[in-house]
This record gives sequence, structure tokens and C-alpha cells, in this order.
Amino acid sequence: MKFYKTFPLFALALATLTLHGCIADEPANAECDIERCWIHLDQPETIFYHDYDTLAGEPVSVDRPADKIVPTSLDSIVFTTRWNATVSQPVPLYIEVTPGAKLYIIENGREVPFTSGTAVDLHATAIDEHAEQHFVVRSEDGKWNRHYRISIQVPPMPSYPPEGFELKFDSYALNSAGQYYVWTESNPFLTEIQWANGNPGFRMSKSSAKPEEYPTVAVDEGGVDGGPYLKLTTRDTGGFGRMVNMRIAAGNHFIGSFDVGQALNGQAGALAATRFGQPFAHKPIRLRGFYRFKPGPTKQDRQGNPMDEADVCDIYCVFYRNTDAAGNQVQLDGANILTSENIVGLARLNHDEVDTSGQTWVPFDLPLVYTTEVTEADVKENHYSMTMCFSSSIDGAYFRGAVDSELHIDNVTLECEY
Amino acid sequence: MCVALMASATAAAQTEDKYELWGPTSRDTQSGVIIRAGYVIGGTTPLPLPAEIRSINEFKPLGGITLGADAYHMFSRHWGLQLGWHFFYEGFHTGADVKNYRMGITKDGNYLEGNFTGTDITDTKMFGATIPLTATYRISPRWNVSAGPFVSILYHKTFEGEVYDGYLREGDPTGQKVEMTRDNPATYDFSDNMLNCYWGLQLLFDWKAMRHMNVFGGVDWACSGVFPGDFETVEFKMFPIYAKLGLAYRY
Repeated sequence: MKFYKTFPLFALALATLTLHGCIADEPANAECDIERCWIHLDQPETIFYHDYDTLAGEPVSVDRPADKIVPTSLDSIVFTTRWNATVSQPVPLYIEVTPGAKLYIIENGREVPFTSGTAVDLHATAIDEHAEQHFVVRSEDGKWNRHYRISIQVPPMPSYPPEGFELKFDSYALNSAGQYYVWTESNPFLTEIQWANGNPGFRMSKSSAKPEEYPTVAVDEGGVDGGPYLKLTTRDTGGFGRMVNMRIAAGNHFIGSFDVGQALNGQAGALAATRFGQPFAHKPIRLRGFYRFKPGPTKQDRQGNPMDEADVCDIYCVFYRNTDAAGNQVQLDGANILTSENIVGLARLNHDEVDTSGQTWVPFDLPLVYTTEVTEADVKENHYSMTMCFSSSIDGAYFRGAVDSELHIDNVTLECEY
Repeated sequence: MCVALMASATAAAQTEDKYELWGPTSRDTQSGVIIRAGYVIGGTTPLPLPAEIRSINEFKPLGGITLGADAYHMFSRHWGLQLGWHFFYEGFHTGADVKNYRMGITKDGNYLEGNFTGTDITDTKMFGATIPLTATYRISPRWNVSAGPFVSILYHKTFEGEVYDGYLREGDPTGQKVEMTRDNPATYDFSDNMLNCYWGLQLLFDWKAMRHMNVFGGVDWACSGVFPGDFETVEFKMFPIYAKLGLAYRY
């Protein structure tokens, strides 16, 4: 009887606990991405250099090279063909979207439901002469949508300028949101150089930073011939950086792409975020240019403790085989860019001879050392990728470096054999 | 008829006696003091649980004691007022799976916001004092129920945790996907963002087990959140709701 009378007290306590059992029905998906996209061709090798070029996006991971997904940062999906290819017939286009989301193709300004696998007009005949199809993905909950453009594009014919590929870092602008600098190469008749850097990752940790406060910055004047140059600075990432144990961001600039989705994903993610290289139909033999370097006062380790060594910059150029034995795509990243077995040629700045005065422009001239011979036929078939990388802290990929280490780069030339 | 009346009068007298027997210990003033010690269990939670919370995988109380005193005065046989001062130390650890959970983090003037899908671990602890002013009603000689508002003042507070095994869609669900694995959780600490006080309603039952000893149980149900209204990091109002159960000594 007594227990019965006190029972309401226990019931009350239990009721409070079981509040946590009141799980509502699962809300509909709010995301609306194109997750995978590919085209089907009976003989892809006649149109593309590699079979995997018919799959859009990037391999999910090094372990799953055959599974390519479209990065969420993309809203334009481009399939790049051989330079001499033409696509004139409609091509079956396959698209996978977020579960529950609906996919529409825009025809004459109207949204028409699109069935994956339908053949669409994606003709491409020469540089800048191609069809572009527009799509809308609408989320399952109906509140969100994303617009995509999909096209096949023919690149310019690979041609080697006799003076070498001159890279002067004088074609830059702020990104669309005006947050940080992005670089482009201005000559549309040469192989387009895809510059990337860690600025998009830095933005997530320091949204308040002005464009000049990013690790990778364009400077308008004061270059080797008076014009713009590239300024790379190792920066403190602030409170957010400490939250994810990434206290510094080295200024870097490289050929390839930066996967910002992996940038905060721990040490492994940060290494995977820097995807180095692009297919390159020329055999590089030396990387020349000018630098100016001054190390920051104190090199620190990942936990922020001072280290008993000076910081130093890094400059290298790598030429590597971009297909594995199974025919899958190989893209080197921060974890293996200097160690992979796919590397055939490498040039790197000697760190013991770096001028650390930071006063005058110092020339560098780095010949590529080939450990495996390459044939011109393979190179011309885009079987190799090339990257070059500049970093204000040599161990920046491991979050070791000195804040304020500053590397300036200008007038870089990549000399090739052909 | 007469017997029935007598029986009824006797019953009334017996009840009267019981009220006297179990009543306030000081008959002259009808006032007294109750010293309470008890166990506290509960959590700080949005109410109702939003659909974005898909499952609660872990729940563990942290701390959980209350020590205090109430002064009371009975104005009539059934009605009285009670004013208290209760120290408490309470908290909990929880792990939840969330889907498309709106969050934003401010730090050193930098802002990162978006929709998180994955696992969210929270630890919160509060040390403070609750000051309840409640009306007391005697349901029966041995049962009291009291209800009324309270204010809680926090001397020490923490609200921290981490998110992992998921991803953030930056800005909104169409934004950049930022992966976060278990190996590298993003940690957060909103302790300094917590308010120093909140208010709510207290419901308390007292059962007089012995002449000087009560068993009590009840709930402190906060009506204001632990974070200020303009704190957008946690999208939902978080209410501390704690049940307590304990023993009291009546003077």
C-alpha cells in the first residue's frame, strides 16, 4: 500500500526519462545532389583517353578507385574528350540523385521529369562548340533544389610552346562570393592549367578573414618583372582550427583540385583533400622560376608545441602514371604525392640550400629526375598526370610549420621535351 | 440513522485527529522547516523532441544530488505556502543520431553554420541553487502536493560535446558537404554561452512516512531555455527538466 502511494513519484521520474523515447517520424531528405553521373558509349576509347573518363567526378577514395562520385561543390559536370574527338549523336546519360529527390531536365524553359539512361543531345565538335543540358534536382521534402549543367567538351590540341609553359600568376580574381583569390590560365588554346589551393578550407575555419588574410594570396605589384606574384603564408586557423586539431594552414598552390569536403576530416582527410595533378600530354624536364622565402619565428607541431627546428618552404614537380593495372583512375594526394610507385619523374627544391633572407627574388631551376622511362605515345595518350606544388611550410600537410612563414613565387616556367 | 450519524462523526473526528497527528509539527504557528536531501535525474532537452533527432543511443546521468530547505506556513488545514533554497548538482551525457540538424558555431568572430547529419554527443553539468515559491495543498493527512514557480541560479555550468560519423552541409542542405569521421570529431563547448539563471515550475509530492520524516518526489520543469534567445548555434530551446526523489526531515 505504501509503495503504491509512492508510485506516482517513480512514475514521474520515469516519465521524464522516457521523454527521450519520443522519437518523431523521420523527416524527408532535404538534400538534392547529383551523386553519380555517367554516359554510355559503345566504344569509349575512340572518344575518351580512358574508360573512366565517362564517369563524372572523383574516386570516392584511394581504396575504391572505380567508384566515382560528383563532389557536392560542383554544379557543372563536364566530360572531357580526346582533343580530336567529335560527338554528334545523342548520348545515353545516367544520373543518380539523393534518395527521394526528383530530377528534371529543362527543355524550352520548362522542367520535364528525366529518366536516367535517356539519350540526350550532348554534341561536342571543337573547342567551345558543344551542347549544354540543364537539370534541376528537387529534394524529397520539396524545400530545396540545385541546378546543374552537363556537357561534353573537346579540349584544345596539345601543343608545346617553344619557350615552355610560362606561369606568371597574373590572371586571378576573387571567387564568386568575394572571399578569396582564385587563379586561371588565360590562354584557351593551350592545355588549361587547373590551379588549386587550400583557401576554400581556410574559409571554413576563418569566415571573418579578408582575401589578403588567406594563406594563398595574389599581390598586384612587386613581382620579378614588376607585375603580380603569388604570396603563400602559413596562417593560424584560429578557434575552429583548434577544435579539429588543425592549428595552422600553410599557404599552398598546386595543379589539381582541392576537395574541401575532406579538408576538416582529420589528418587523413586533410591529406586526401589535396588531389594532385591533371592529365598532361607533354613530358616535363625542368621547372624554373623565382622565389622569395622568409620563415616564421617558431615552427610548431600539430598540438601547437614549439619545435626545435626552423621552417622551410617546398617546391616540387611530379609526373606520374594516372592509371593502375586494372585500368582505374589514379590521382595522387597529400599522402602519396612524393612516395607513390606511380611516380615516374620528380623535381624538388633542395631544402638545405633555400635562401631564407626573404629580401630578393632568388631563381630556382629544378630538373625532373626520371626513375621510369616514358614513351611519347603513352604521354600523348594522356597516360600521365603532372602537378607542381608550392608551399610556405614543408610539413604543412601535417599541420607542422611556423605561422608567418612566407613564400613568394613568380615567373615559373615548365620546360618539356615535347 | 442515529448510528450512521454517530459513525460519520466519529470518522470525521478520526480524520481530524489524523490531520492533527500528521500536521505541522509546531501547532501554534502552523509553520516549520523541511530539510531535504535527494537524488536528481533528468536532462536538458528540446521539447517536444524535434524530428531531426533520429535516435538517442546513450543516456547517462552525471551527478544528481539536491540538498536544501523549505520554510512553510499553513494558512488553513489544506492550504499553505512554501519557500525554499535547494542546492543541486545535476547533468547528463547523451549520444544522439541526428539528421539535417541545423547548427552554427561562433568562435572568435568566425561563423560556421549548416545542417549536420551524424552523431552528436553532449555532456552538460550544472551546479546551482533553485529557489521555489510554491502553494501547498494537503490532499490527505499524510500527502502534500505543492506547485509553483522557481528560479534557478547557476554557479558553475558546462555544455560541451562533439559531432562525428557524419557530415555538415555548409550553409544549408545544398551547400558543400564537409565530412567528419569518428577519428576526428569536431568538438564544441558552449558553456560560456549558457545563461546564469532560468525559471520554471516545480511540482512536489510529500508523503509523511514518519512524524518527522517525509519521502518526497517531484519535478523541476524549466520554462525558459538554458541558452539566450539570440544564441543560434543550438536551434532548439533547451529546457532543463529534472525529477527528484529523496528524504526530508520536518521541524
